[in-house]
Amino acid sequence: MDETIARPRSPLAELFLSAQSAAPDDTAQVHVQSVPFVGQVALRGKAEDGAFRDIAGQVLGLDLPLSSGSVVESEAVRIIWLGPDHWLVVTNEGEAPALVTGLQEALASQFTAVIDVSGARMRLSLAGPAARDVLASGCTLNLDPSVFPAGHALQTPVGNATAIIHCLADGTYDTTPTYDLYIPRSQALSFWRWLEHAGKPYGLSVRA
Amino acid sequence: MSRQVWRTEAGGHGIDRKQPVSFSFNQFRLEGYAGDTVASALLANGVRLVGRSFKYHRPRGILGIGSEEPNAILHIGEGARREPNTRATVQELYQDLVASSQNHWPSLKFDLGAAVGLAGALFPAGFYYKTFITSPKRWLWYEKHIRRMAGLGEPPTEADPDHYEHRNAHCDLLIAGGGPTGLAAALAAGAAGAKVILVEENPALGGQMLLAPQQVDGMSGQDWAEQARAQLDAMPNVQVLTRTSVAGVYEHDLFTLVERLGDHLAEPEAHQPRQRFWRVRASDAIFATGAIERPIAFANNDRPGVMLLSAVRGYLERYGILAGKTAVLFANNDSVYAAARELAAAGMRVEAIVDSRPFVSEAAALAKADKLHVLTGHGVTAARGMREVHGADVAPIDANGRLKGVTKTLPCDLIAVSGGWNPAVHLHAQSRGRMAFRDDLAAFVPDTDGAAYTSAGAVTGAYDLAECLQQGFAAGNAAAKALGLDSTAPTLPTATGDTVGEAPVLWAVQAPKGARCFVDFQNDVTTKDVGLAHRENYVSVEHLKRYTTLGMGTDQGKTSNVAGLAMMAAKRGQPIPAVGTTTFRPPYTPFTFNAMVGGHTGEIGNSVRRTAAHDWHAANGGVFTDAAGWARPMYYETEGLTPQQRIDEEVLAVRKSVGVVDVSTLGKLDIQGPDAAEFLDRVYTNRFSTLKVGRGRYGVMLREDGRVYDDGVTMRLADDHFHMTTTTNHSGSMFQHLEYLLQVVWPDLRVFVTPVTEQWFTAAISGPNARALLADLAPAVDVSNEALPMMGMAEGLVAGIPARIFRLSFSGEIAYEINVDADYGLALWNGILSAGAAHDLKVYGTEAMGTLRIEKGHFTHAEADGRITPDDLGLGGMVTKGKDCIGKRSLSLPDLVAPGRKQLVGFIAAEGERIPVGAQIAALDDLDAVQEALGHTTSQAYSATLGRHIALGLMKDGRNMHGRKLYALSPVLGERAAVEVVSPHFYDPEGGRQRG
Repeated sequence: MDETIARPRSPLAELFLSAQSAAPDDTAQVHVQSVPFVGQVALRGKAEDGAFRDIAGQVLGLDLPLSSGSVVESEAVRIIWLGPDHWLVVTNEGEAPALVTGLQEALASQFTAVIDVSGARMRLSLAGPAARDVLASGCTLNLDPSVFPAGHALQTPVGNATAIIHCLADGTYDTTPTYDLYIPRSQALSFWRWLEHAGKPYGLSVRA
Repeated sequence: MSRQVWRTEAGGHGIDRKQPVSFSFNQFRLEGYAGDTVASALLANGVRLVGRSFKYHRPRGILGIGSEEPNAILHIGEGARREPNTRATVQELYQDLVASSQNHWPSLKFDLGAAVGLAGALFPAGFYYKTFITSPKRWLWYEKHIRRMAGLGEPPTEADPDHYEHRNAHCDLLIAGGGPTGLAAALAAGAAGAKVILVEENPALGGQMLLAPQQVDGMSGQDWAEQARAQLDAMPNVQVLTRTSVAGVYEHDLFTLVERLGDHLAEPEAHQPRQRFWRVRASDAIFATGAIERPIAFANNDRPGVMLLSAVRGYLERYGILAGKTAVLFANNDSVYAAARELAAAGMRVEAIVDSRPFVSEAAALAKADKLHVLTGHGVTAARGMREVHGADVAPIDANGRLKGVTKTLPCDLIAVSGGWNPAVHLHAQSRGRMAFRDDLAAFVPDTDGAAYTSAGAVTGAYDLAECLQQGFAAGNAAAKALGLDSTAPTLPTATGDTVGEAPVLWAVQAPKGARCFVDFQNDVTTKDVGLAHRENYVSVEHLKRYTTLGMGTDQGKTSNVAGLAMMAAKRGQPIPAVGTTTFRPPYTPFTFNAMVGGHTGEIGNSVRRTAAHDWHAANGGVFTDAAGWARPMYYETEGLTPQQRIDEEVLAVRKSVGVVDVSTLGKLDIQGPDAAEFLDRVYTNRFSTLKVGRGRYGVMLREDGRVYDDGVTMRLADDHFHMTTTTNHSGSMFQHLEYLLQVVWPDLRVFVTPVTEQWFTAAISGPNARALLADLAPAVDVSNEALPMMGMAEGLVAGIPARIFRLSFSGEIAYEINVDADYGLALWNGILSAGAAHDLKVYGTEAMGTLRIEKGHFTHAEADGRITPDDLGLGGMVTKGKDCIGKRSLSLPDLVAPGRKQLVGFIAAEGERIPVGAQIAALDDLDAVQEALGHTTSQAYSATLGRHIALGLMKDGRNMHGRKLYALSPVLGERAAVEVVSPHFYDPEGGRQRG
């Protein structure tokens, strides 16, 4: 087989490819950047199961976050609470298979499920002074920093897709509002078209 | 260009006389000033005939000054930006604005439809219903004529070029109305730190303070409003939205607003939205929505030149316009005296002040002393003039408006009317608040008992400026305190405005026989129509509304509803509150569909799901269809082939060599846990706990009622780990179904169900050459029939990509489903295609896939349509005995075991005949005969394999009908075919090919 064929491809590959050659737009108040191939692992287990929590925590090097909207992170992983028995573990590109194996082995005798879902969602970064306004056009959650501060993440409909919104910087203390969005892969292009529409009044630029 | 003949020499704080603005009205070039509305600019030019009415095509002018306007509705803009039904009183003037009248033909001054007005008896209340009931054919005759004459405005035919935006927002306190009350409330709550959104429909804050001279703390009302605005703008916690209306109030503190950002401009600024639709969640709200002046009905009260008194004052105060040269003022309250002095001071001749009250109020006495012509106990009985007023008939009247003396005619070109005020209770009513009727005001006000939100100011019947300010401060202060904020109300400023005094209600003045007194101007509803509805026994006001169309126009009867129901109450001899009000529904004022849609059309509104190989399909002739939100190629267009020829090629490739199809859209669920096998036994009709690891099984699921829900193959990856596939349609609902069962029905089962449809790209290769192709693609995997038999699985590299290979078949040929991480989907697809060249590989789409499955007699949701049991499909044996499952008990319901149920069969058409889509099966070859339908077709296709048209269908007692020669008829399409009933398994019924 020709080894060069077996390369991953982002659902927005062409969009970001063309952005590489475009001049940066300095007037834009929102910038979109794609991190398409992050490792993603669905971790299932009961939050009230102490043994499960302990073992998972040891493997991941972090205690699992236990409340709605919470996120914990280290150099290696970011763990997003998705439900009382569901976490999304985000890691670097290519690191998901080893993480899955590590978790599966350590949790072999526990009631749990560890599933590589790296291809299920693509990650977009939305940053800029108007990032919150753009999201607020399609998201009914209150994104005010007092309610949705940096370090908070929720899964909710945004525009025409269901996204996980993770606030990395909320605009307080002179930060630039920055959000990571995890979008179902099959809807990535449609979501991008929505984003382009929603961002139009604010100027939206794509960063490769 | 005409001179602004009715503009005063000075004054009018709302306009900038240094900035002339030219515009056109019905192609006449006119000039106004920046700050004008279209209505004020038209009046400035002495234009008062602006449109024709809805039903009678009577000439109409400008009645009011705000969003309540029923008459002056125009087309604004041209081409794609033409907006019909725009209220001239709200539309701000901009350079080169193009306005035109609606509802006139052939011209505004000469209108053929007005002839209908002369033959007015043709159009009584309920005309449409009566015409329709007596003879539908008569209606058909009327309709084409009525369609041309009736209706309000024409929408543009081009696509809207502008951008529209949605916005979600959250706040502590929403304040509707930026008049004195709303401003006071915002100042109080804002100073306490509450997060406030203040909404005002006009471009400037101030409300009534802008429309009549008033004083607050020694400054003009307008200056005070500007000062308040500056204070609010300095508060980061307060957001002021002008040119914005609160459209609706909904459950759970949801409010919708429409912000008009570009309507006052020829076109919106670059990239900016024309309108923004807001959805606001507010913890609390204050309705400071004010009150709307109401007219008094008299004969020909719709003539251009009859206006609301407050509007006449407002045009003078805000726009420096005298709306006439000689006026007769007609009112039931004291506001008329202050108005008379203002108008007279500005140069208008006040011919008479007609005061309907039988007594002489203090203000009336002062006016008389000042030699003003005051007629108390009088009423205007009729307006004189056709296209505009040139006189007013005035006579002594009693408290009910009945004539009790001689009528005399006063010359005038303006009749300004005030019949009191109706509080704008709409938002309160929308929030399910009840109404209380105030006899002293003859008006409904919000009932505070049980109210969800606070109403304050004129909406509560407080028509006095000082009281409005006091109520506003108090409401804002109370709202802040309720939020737990430290708040003290600001000191109340001293305020003076005019007083209303006692205002005994007067709805209408007795009219001469044959004259029309309009209640609802926009829908041409007269006092007589209300009487007729009553004579015809309409009792409920809701029925009155629908029968007469009272209040059903774009103005929703803001100036007319209360009068109409008061008249109804009088006819019934009941008090007004006993008759009640009609329902106040959103929106408060009309807004465009575009604002509501917010540009969410097509894919932006409803996402299209694409597989990882979508771009390849699109680039290679794929013709897409929507399959449960996914874009799937039906077939691949090929030069020189018809679609059917291409589909035949695709089918034959699978039968003769090998085909590949993208089946990523199938639902996929990861099921894990110690009780996973037990769980599957309970949800499938057949058993999965006996399945060996590394093997799969086809399963059918039932709904609780025993009907087939979904089907698919589930593979056992490990003792406690399964990979379930569902149909494309049910990938979402199947996850919900299983999750519900785990959370609610069997919470003791230790199973996790995780949707993984998005994770996998799946390509199915099928055909006699499929094994050889797979062997090339996966050299390290043993693909022999022994190592990888039917319903077996393997894991390994396919085209260099880690993959799960499931051997299962939907086509009846040797087939494999290859699953890889979706990021590598296109790489796999390209790998299969390049390796496939040596095996006569063809790509196929859903049409060929459907044909292949029909040939094999596999059912889909076309067959299992929600009424069908496994036995109906010939799958009764799949309901395993000795175990229970969801829906199993329902299978013994009498109707589900009764003889004569429809059963799955095949139909094969006679040579050269084509089975129509959705055909009924019958014994006689006659499309017109009344005959029993013995069954119906569910899926049909041309089978290139068999060289015949074939169909699956459901037929009464179908399994006993094989061999019968019948007819497939479609009276709808006018098509027919002779068919033979056969087994649904048209092709290789033994299944030897797929196991080979």
